[in-house]
Amino acid sequence: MLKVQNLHKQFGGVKAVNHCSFEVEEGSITGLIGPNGAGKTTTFDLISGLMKPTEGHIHIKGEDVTTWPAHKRARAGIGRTFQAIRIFPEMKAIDNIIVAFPKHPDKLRDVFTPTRKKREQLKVKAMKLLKDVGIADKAHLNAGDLSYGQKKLLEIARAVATGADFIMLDEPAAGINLTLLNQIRDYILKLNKEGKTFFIVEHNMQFIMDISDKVVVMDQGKEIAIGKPEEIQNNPRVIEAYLGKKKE
Amino acid sequence: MLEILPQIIWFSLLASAIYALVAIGLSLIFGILEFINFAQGDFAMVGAYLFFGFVIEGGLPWWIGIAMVVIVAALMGVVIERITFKPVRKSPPFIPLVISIGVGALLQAIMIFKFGGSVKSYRTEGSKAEVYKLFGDTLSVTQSQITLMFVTAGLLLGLYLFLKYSKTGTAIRAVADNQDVAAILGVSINKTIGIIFAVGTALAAVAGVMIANEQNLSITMGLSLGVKAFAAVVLGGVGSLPGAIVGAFIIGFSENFIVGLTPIPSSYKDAIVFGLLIIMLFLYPNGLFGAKAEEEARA
Repeated sequence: MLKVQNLHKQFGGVKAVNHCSFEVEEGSITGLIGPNGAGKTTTFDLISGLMKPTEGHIHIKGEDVTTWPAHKRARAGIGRTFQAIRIFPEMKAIDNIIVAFPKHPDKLRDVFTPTRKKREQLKVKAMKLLKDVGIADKAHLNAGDLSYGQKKLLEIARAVATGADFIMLDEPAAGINLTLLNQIRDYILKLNKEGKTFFIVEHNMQFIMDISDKVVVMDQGKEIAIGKPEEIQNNPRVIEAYLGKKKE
Repeated sequence: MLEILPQIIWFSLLASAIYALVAIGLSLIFGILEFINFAQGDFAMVGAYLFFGFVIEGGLPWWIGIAMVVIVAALMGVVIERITFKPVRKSPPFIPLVISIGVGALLQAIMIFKFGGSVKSYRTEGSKAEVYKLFGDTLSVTQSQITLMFVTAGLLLGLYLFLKYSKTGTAIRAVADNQDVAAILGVSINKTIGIIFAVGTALAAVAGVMIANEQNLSITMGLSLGVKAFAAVVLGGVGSLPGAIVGAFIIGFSENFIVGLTPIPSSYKDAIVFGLLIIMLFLYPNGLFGAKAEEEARA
């Protein structure tokens, strides 16, 4: 599904991502962990196209997308959420979903569609997604007025709404209670069963080890270990990377 | 005094419509790119000259002329954005602002080159405008004013429906809110900004035709128009489209009422309008519809 080769991103002298390579298999749930500042979010930005790499290549579904702009990658099936929630606070929850539906008009003649009927269909589709994440009753509230957890659910639903089959979640478990955490986990597992591939950055070790088929560990911009969760937990380099962080 | 009231109201409406058309473009561009486009008034000036070229010199029927003005202006907006503003999109907002001043000067130079620097008029010699007298002769309205008002109302209604109901309208709001997020949802930022410029430039160009229909054409006519549209945007609350329209109406009405109903000479009208603006901003520092911006800043 995703193949990252020798990916490198330099900001001045800082190597945020340092010749990093790994793969995410189709249909898998792959975790991405590492100490703060390891380059996880930068890696997400590079894959989703918000940043251009200094070096290296990104392949999605066998295609080299390294030079593609972000919106083209989104249309090719990459969806994501952000570490700090980025919904559209002034829009209603349901409109946050509708804006994400694919097929933005490419041609001038599409600009003045959709008609009333098409709008109704979009609304029904959006309501179904909101229902799936359990916030259908908030559909007509401004997204900015939702609780933190509800915003998180909305953002995940929005990533799904793009029609993406490769979804990257940046810390889905951060700052939410256990009930909601379980709800998010169940939703991820359900979508995974339906065939969606997940790539998840997370600091909650129990959550990520529990949900992932495979875990990639990054430290100082480089992958230092790749393997099954149980292998990763016993990997001395991983333990060192985390303990090294503690020493500071 | 009362007998001139209908005429003053009509002139106020005309002026307000003109300012609103320019102010909406300013507000749309500011909403996404966060700079004040000082060339907006010059877009109007170009529109006025294009109409002159197509209809007065070229002899095309007026309605084809208006359609051509809208199309050519929209294309011009897209091209100008691509070659001047797009390369500096990630720069601080004062850089595109300075560039927009340059764009305005360039447009003026091109129009002088094409049409010459002398003052021009839509009224050809010997022609007589068709005038309707209403309210027992207290209100005279020309056919072209009525037509242009309908064109404006149609454009504003179309814009409203477009922004509110089309997917592109939603995309524009998404891009205005957060370009990164819009991009990862599959919205093309370049295309959306292109559409914004096309719409903003076309609206300004129609405003230019309207004002040239009332006054004469001159190369520098865009200046005061741009400044008043800017004032309308500030008055209404920067970034708010309804605010820009309300601001345009406040300015359009106050300047015509001051000139029409008080002994103050018309040469003072701009000074008084801007004095009012200062007072309004004392009372509403964020503009009339700008409360949300303040909330956001505090949050």
